[in-house]
Amino acid sequence: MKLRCPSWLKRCPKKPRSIRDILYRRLSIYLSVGLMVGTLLVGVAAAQYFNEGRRGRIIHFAELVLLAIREVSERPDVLSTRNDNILSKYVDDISVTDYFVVVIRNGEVVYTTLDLPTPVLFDLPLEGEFSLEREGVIFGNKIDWELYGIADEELNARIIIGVWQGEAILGTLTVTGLVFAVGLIIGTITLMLVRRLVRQVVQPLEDSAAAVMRRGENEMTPIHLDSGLNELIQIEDALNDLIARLDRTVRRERNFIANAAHELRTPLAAVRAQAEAIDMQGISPQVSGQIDGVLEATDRATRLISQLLQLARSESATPVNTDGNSVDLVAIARDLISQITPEIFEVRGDIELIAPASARVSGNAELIHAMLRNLLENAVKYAGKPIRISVTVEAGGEDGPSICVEDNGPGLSELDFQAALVKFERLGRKSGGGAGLGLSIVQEIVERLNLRIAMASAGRLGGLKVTVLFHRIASP
Amino acid sequence: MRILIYEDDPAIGDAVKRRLQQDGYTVDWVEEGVSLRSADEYDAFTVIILDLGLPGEDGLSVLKGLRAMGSSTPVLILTARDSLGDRVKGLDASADDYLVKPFMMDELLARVRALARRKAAKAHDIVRYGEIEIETAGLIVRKNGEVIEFTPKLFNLLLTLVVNSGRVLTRTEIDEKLYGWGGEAESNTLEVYISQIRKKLGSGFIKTVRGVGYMVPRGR
Repeated sequence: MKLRCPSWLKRCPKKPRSIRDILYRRLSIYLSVGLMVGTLLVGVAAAQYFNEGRRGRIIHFAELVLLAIREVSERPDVLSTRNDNILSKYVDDISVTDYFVVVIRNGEVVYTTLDLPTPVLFDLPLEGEFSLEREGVIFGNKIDWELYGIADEELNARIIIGVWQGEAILGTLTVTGLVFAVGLIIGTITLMLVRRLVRQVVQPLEDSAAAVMRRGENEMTPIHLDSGLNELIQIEDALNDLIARLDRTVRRERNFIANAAHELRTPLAAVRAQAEAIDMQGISPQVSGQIDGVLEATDRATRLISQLLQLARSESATPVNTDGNSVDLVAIARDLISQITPEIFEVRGDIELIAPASARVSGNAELIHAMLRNLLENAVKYAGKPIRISVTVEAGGEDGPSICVEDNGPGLSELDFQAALVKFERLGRKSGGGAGLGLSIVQEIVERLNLRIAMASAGRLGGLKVTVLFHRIASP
Repeated sequence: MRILIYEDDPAIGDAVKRRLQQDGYTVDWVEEGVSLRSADEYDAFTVIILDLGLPGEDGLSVLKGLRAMGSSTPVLILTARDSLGDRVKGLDASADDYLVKPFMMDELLARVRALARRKAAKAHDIVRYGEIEIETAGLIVRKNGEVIEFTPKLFNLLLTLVVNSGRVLTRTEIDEKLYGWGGEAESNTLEVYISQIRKKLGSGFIKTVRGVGYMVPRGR
């Protein structure tokens, strides 16, 4: 019996990665890293650029204000009329103020957009930051301004412009977000394009693999991958070359077996036919006994050659049918029983088949036929007198389909049975014309088809009972 | 009765020829694969024994040729090729029987007799089986010269079993060979008919192979 390794004992081989997966994964990683780095760089650059630009504009604006002050310094009346709080006029809440302007000249605040006591305005530095605590503003309870200012000693004037710091952050965020969004769209489109591209490259490979997989075990015709790709055509050529070489080898082996069968059988048949064609009338009992001896020897040789060839065939045959068709155990059993029945009836024996209408299994029909034939021949050879043989086929319950051959012979011990499964054991019994290869062939085929074989002694008929368990046909 | 043997091995051909002659057959022995010219030429023979591996034309091609000409002469393939595939190929090419070398001479003779009966049945001649004589044209059965009554259905079943003597016929095969004879697959009509034949011709005349079918043993 063949022991099968439980699946958890087998070392789990690392699952091979597909080209598709590798390309997708790599590309996704590269694109995401690229997008992140790009966004970061753009964000930093944007912040820098934004700040510089703003600073330049504000300084320019301050200079313009200074210029305006210089212009109006000859007309003190103009400025004095503006000495009020612009902000308090138009806006109630300074928390929304993005920027403020304070103009101080000759020791007084001549212009402010910020509603704050004069000393506070006076203390504003030309550069730096200025915080104002207020309730209900964005980002906590205070507003931070960045201050830009210029002073003119000639006019004794200071212009301080405060810009809300949040604006810089918001600006940078806006630009960065925009860049990220655009990058995401471009990345997605790129991925989709690459997906198409990869499919165009990988699909023919997968189709080719499927085309090769679909082929029957013994299909030796050239493969057509139907691809215009040069690489695949090369693979196709290489595969076809390999198939052709395999085909030649297999053919040579098969022909050898077939020829050997013919070459060995024909002379044996000649010896037998000639011995049997001797006219027995007027022949002495001694010579007649010798003729019987010749016949018996040819029988033994015939059986041996037949079994050796079956052994050779079972070693070179493929486990499943070349056409992939399933095999009906009942039909095979019927066919074989029909063939051996006349011989059994001749010696007043009996054989029966207990079977359902059909029991389909997968496997090479020729091998299953040879296996059952050997089980039956073995039963005939070792059965009692008169011969009683019972063949039972079961379509399969828990264990799958099975076939059981039982005889009324002396039976075998488990030890003898195991020994008989080994090539060239004669079961310790010299009677009969067999070379004891029958069960070895059965064992060989059981191994080839990955089946299970079991024996029981003293069954219903009292002799050996051999059961072969098949696999259920995998549903398509 | 004339037998045509295609056999390239001289020892086998000679032995088969002599044994058949001892049994009263006229034997023509051809040592290579050559086709005859017409169906009539083939039909002049009762049985054709055909080796497959012949010099010249292959045995299977001779067989296909003679069937194509329209000859229905029974053909027994006698070959050293013993694989299941070869056997199926031979029977598919409408050989009537397949015997693998080396063979027992008695078996060959029994099969030739069975095929001769088949030929006789086809030609509406008298089919002889032991002490039974079946007159196919007149649907008459005699045992030791005494006429035994048979209904047409029973007669056809008997004839089918006799011309296939030595072979187990499954229920399906009997149904196929006696197309439309009324034996329903599920019913026990066949069993009833078989037991009727046994009553008329003796209980041992038809053997039951349980689970497989029925068989009339090889006749002398």
